[in-house]
Amino acid sequence: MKVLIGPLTKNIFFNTIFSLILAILLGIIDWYTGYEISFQFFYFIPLSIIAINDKQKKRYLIIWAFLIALCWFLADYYAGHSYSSTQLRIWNTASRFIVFISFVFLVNANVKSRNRIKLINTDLLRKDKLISDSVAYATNIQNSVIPDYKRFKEFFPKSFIFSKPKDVLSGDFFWSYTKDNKITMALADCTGHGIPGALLSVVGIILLNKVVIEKSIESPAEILTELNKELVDLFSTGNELIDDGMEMCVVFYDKNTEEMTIAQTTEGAIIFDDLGNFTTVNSDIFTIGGILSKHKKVRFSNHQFKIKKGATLYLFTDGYIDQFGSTANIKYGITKFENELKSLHKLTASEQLEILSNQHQQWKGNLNQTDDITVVGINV
Amino acid sequence: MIDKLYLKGSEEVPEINFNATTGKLEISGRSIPENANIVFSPVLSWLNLFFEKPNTEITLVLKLEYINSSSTKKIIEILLLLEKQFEKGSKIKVEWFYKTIDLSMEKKISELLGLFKIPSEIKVY
Repeated sequence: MKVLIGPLTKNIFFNTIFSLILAILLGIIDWYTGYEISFQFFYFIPLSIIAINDKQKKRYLIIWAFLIALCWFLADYYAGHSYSSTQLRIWNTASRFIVFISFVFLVNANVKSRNRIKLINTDLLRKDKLISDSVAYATNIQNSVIPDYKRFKEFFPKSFIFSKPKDVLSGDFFWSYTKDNKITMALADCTGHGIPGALLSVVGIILLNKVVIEKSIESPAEILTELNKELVDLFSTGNELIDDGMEMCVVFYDKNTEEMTIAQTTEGAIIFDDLGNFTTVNSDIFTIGGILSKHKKVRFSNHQFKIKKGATLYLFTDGYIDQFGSTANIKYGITKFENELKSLHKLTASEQLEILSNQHQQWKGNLNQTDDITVVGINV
Repeated sequence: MIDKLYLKGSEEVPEINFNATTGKLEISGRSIPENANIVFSPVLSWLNLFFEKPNTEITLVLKLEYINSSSTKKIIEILLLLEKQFEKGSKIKVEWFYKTIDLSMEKKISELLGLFKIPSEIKVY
């Protein structure tokens, strides 16, 4: 049916002519076959052809319903259908007219709404593509500002980075800088995720380059202090009041002395020794940027560790432990995470990565990911 | 101005009970909403209205079992507002309760309150 009348609906002129001829033809056949046989159903065909055109004006719909009713009236009249009173003939014609008019309006409204949905869908698809294309390109930019992982991998060959953004873009980023036998690493979690998180992450990366590379600052606590100063300065130049900031863990390690210094704004570092005993690293109350750091004098503290061979360092943002899941829909939590790390810290980097990823997926199940996730594992 | 502000708590949002006559603002329970702004903005606007009167007196009582980072931010915002009023001469006091088992919480609280000039007490419940 759709194939047959499809082309006809496109052109309003042919549409009208065709329906008109069909209506006259139907009238003649109806007249010829006589009034005893009911022919009503066929009158809906020209009506459908008219109503299916979504540009059809309302008054034409009424005229058409009237025309078809007239057609039927004439056929009935000339076929010699006699009624006991003239009122009955008029009543029957009027009732058919009402049926026809309801039919064309219903069909037309349906076609119109279906076409509108189609239009909205096309628009949505176009916008969706536009957004995902620009997000994909933004990911390229984000990836290109983050220093090369190759150097980090060369410094720590037995290491992995498990990174899983909530959306395509991430508010988490891992940054590192090596010089001789020394490395400075930073794992950051910017407020929000997706596009706002990613924008802030690019700012964070640029500021880290400035503070660590240009100013050659080695002390993690001092790096955090400088970063906060830079970020607060940057945000106070604009008109908007921004209280956004980032959580960050900064690690400085010297291979020669085996000394590791860590300073962080939130608990995001665990160190395992060769025997599986672990230490969680203390954190300070201040964040980089953010309301408290803007109004109060920040103070960050360094924590020193002697790192022997065989020790493993984990850095993580809160995305992994904050994931809702299991049948009870609860957060994964730090205790489960610590136990998980305890059971796998002896395995190879790729095995650890796989287990962490699988365990997360299993816990999450069909639920949405809560936040961006980054876990960095380093076997020193 | 209304004398009382009461917001019912749930699994995710704390119970908020503010009595203008006694000057007691109590926030208790869990605070882990996705958007802490929605929960705390009535409190902040209420406080701003409250401080329009002269000679105000407020005791902030916090009994928070669990608090997420965005809610912490809002608590800090409240503390900053109270500190501003304290410097203007309002009588302000903070009582922050924690559970005996949560020692890291105690450390965090004292560290945070240490940054403010407002008189405060940390208590066990």
